Amino acid sequence: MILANNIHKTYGKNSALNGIALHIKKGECYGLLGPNGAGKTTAIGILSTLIPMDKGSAEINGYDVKSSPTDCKKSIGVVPQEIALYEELSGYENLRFWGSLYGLQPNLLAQRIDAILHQVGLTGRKHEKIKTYSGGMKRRVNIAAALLHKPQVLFMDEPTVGIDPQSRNLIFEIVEELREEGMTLVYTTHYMEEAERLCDRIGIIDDGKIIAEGSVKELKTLTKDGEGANITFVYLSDKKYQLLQTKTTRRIGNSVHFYTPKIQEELVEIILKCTRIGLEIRQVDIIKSNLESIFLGLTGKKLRDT
Amino acid sequence: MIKLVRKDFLLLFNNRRDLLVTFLLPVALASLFALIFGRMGPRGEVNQAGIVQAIIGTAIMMSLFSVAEVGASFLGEKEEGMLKKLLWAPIPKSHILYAKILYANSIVMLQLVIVFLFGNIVFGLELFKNIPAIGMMIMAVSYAGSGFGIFLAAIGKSRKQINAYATLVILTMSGIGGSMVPVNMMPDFMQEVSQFSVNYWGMQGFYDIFLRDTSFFAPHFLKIVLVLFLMGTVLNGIAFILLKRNLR
Repeated sequence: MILANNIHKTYGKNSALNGIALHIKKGECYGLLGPNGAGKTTAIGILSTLIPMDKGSAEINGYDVKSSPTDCKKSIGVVPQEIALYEELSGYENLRFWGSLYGLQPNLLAQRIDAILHQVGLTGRKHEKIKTYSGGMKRRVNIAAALLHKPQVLFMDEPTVGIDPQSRNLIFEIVEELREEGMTLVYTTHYMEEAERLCDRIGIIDDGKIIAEGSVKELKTLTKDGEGANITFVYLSDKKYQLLQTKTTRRIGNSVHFYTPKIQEELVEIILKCTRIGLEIRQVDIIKSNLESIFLGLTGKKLRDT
Repeated sequence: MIKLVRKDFLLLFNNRRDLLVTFLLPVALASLFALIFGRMGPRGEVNQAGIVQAIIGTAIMMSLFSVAEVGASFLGEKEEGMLKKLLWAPIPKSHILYAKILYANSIVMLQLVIVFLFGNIVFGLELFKNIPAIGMMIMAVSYAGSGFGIFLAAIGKSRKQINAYATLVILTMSGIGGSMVPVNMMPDFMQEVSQFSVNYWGMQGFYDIFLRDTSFFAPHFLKIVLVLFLMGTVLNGIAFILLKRNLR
């Protein structure tokens, strides 16, 4: 469905993509996870024919991105990061305009618009101008506009940025429905919980390279460095920290992070050691391995670093 | 392409402010100036030349403001991500640009027709005495005007920037081009400079029709039409090349 090999892209002296390779199967929801400037939007821009690549090749639904851009465009939908809608037009008028660009007959287009407005929960407000919609409602129309021509592949570039929890949940439900319908999805996000909930496979992108790829379960086996316990003491002197300090501890103020993948087995022993040296414990937090810690372990950066 | 033009008209007709600025303001200003210039005849007699000057001068100047707004809105669409979304649609890049040029042309044509019709009804502007020539001039001015608007979009970096310098450029062009004061009242060197403006050629063409009773096939009139079409082709052409290169 999506095949990309050795894609390179540079802007002046800055390298945006350094040999990205992707193989996304039909019906798969693939998450592209990375901090700002990692290359997510450039990758989507290239795969969706908008940005020319410097080197490499890519195929979408069997069409070469470079030599058959129009066929590619017909078979894909893109939900951009920006809310690209005309504020002075109603939701219905916006959808009619965007849908008409794909050559849909007026009757069919009208049917699709009604169905999709129902799906995104905006039937009751379809004739109101977009400028009267909330941010979440606009995001839903933004998604609807990309679905009118029933694309085989949908690229979603951070579709839940800056919206209310209700709209976010509705967007999750839409994505889950699309997955069930067998649509291939490429989903970029900053939010771990979204990637964990929605994506079959995740590619972690940093400095223009995919540095790890797999299901959440597979990725969790890649690094256990993030797992452990964080213990906060009432007061921790330097002298007492020296008694606790090992290669797998890290001190932040009155807290110490004990890195260990076997925390459940070792926690009692750690607490006993702390009480033996006279430390008064205020709080204990168990830290499980998640995408955030995996990302931190792989790149040494926080996901939302800018 | 028609769908894109239709969308622009829909946006215009859905925005009351834009609609008033595009069609009502030119009529109001043309009327005001016609009332002032129309009374400048000897001993308070009606000065028909003054009325013609006021109506065509205002109509051409206001049409340039409208096409500048078309150019600015193009950059606005780029800034807001609409242009990117258009590029994702399976339509040729060039159609997006042709549609903007066509829309800018249509707006100027409509604006000129509305102001002239109003001038005809209220101030007795002899609109129907040479319909082919008037039609040709409206098309020529629209084409040159659309070139000006699209050229602004091509050289501008942002909507804000265009809005800032378009007013200055248009008022300067209108001042030296004869939209405000007839060119023959200006010093010689100004008359030379004025020939670089759309306003000058537009004014001269309409003077030929309304004041000089020039026929459609008169060499002077045809030269004016040719210059306006050339101006439009050069401006639209340069803008098209620049915009197509940067369209992504």
